[in-house]
Amino acid sequence: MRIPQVKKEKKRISFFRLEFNLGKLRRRFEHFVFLIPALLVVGAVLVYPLLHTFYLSFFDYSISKGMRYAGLQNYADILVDKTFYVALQNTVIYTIIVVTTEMIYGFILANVLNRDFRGKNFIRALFMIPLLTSPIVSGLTWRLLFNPDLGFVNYFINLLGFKSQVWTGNPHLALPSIMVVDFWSGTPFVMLLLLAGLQSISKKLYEAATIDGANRFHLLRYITIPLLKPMILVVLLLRTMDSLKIFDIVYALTGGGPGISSMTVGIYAYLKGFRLFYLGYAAAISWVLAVIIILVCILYIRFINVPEQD
Amino acid sequence: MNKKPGDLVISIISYLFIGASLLFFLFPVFWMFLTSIKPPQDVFAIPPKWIFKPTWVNYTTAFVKKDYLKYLWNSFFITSISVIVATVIAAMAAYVTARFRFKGKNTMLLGLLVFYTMPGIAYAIPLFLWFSALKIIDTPLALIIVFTALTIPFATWVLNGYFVSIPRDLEEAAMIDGCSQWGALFRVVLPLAAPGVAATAILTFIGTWNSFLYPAILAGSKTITLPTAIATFITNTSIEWGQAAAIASVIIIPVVILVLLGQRYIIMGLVSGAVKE
Repeated sequence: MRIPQVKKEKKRISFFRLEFNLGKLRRRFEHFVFLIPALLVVGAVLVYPLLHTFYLSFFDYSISKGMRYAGLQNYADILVDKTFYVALQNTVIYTIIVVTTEMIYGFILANVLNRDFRGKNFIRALFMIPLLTSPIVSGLTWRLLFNPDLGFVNYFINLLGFKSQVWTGNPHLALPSIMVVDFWSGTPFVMLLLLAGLQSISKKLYEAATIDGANRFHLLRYITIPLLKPMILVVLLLRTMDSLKIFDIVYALTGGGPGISSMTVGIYAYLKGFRLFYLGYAAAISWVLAVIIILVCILYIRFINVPEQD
Repeated sequence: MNKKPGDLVISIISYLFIGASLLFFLFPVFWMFLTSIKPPQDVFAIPPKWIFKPTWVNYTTAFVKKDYLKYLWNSFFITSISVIVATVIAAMAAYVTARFRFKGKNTMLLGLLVFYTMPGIAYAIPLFLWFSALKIIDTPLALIIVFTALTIPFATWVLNGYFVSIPRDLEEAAMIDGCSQWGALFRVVLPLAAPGVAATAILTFIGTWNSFLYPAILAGSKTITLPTAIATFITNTSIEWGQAAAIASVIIIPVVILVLLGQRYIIMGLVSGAVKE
């Protein structure tokens, strides 16, 4: 058991040695020169701003009052900010529901579309359209459909015998309405990747198992799910990240309202930063969101790595 | 194949499921397009009017009378330049990660992924402050810089997957014949990986084309892009739905065309990193 640990430490040390050993670097310089533009751009436009946001989060900074060091005040304020808690709660509930439903429906859809039927490529391509639609356009499109007086959704549920609803204007329905839109735009993504995963599973496995007397449930349980597992985890990771930072759809559909009923953390940071110009506070909220996402990411990656080590 | 009695039932259920799903996933976009060609008085007719005389008046109002043609050009110009620059930079980086072993490579790739998953707002505040200080707010340069940087991590990941799958022999042969490392990349590897590069470019084009947050913060009336411009319809008290729908359709159409052109490669591109173990 100890051997791998020692190996790992060795790796660490030589990594640092490589960084500072100029002679070795010069020998391989012609290779690494190709890396420089990417590292430079990512460093300057992504890494540095992220650190700058962290720095700003320790300041009381608004356009009217200017910049003043505030220590941990912003983070202390977040801890007692009721709106932030509503936003965080909404974001978590939203992520759990949306990711679960999208994964289940996307999985079923991928399996159904994996069958052989005429025009399958065309049908599969049609399912990509929601995926290609700009989130802001998706939000706007559904806002048109959700229009309380004259929208298609109310017309449709009237036909089914239900009463009209004020979808995005009702505090209880605003967040579920956003979930519908996210489900609409996220499920095709799940379907597409899982379908690609399904197609890489050899048909011979199914044939062999069928000959051995396996039924549909067995095939699903013992072939499809285990072999698709790496892909399922990757899709799960990507969808979770996207849902936690949800912004565009909410902005187009409700803007966080009515009141704060559909506020998410991303929207709240934006409103604080670019509507009210409390830049320090907005920076602190962004960092809290970033840390949440990184933590979830690390958890997932641990989870993904586990089966590979067995 | 020998058919079991249950197969027919399952087939019927499957097709019903596909049909119902297709209706749900296609209808909103179809409805948006229909709204864009409806005469204004029919937009909110209840029950909905399915048969009407199509009109292009919403398109001409938005793109001829109003400034949306300029915003369309902004979108196109900024997106294209960003994607080209980012693809070249990412191709160079991916070439190194795919061809050479070096310590810390996986850490670097994973690090790139982390930056890809960060919420946009976490970058936006300093970028807004810097670009204001540099006085390049509302210039194409500001958006091109940001979009290029945001695109590089994803493009590097996808291209890395492609380059790994290209045999080394060819470029080694080219280098023995006196080709430089640079030449090996641009004359041998890139042409071989052309489908992958095209798929990457299309995917990043879509992401950038559809982007809303950064133009909303960093662009003014001169460089605003189409998705951000359409959002101004939202803040108005009464939304001009016909025109909004026309603009929405124009945002969607180029993307759909691009994807139809590169459909096969895109799916390959999306899974290349994940499936290869």
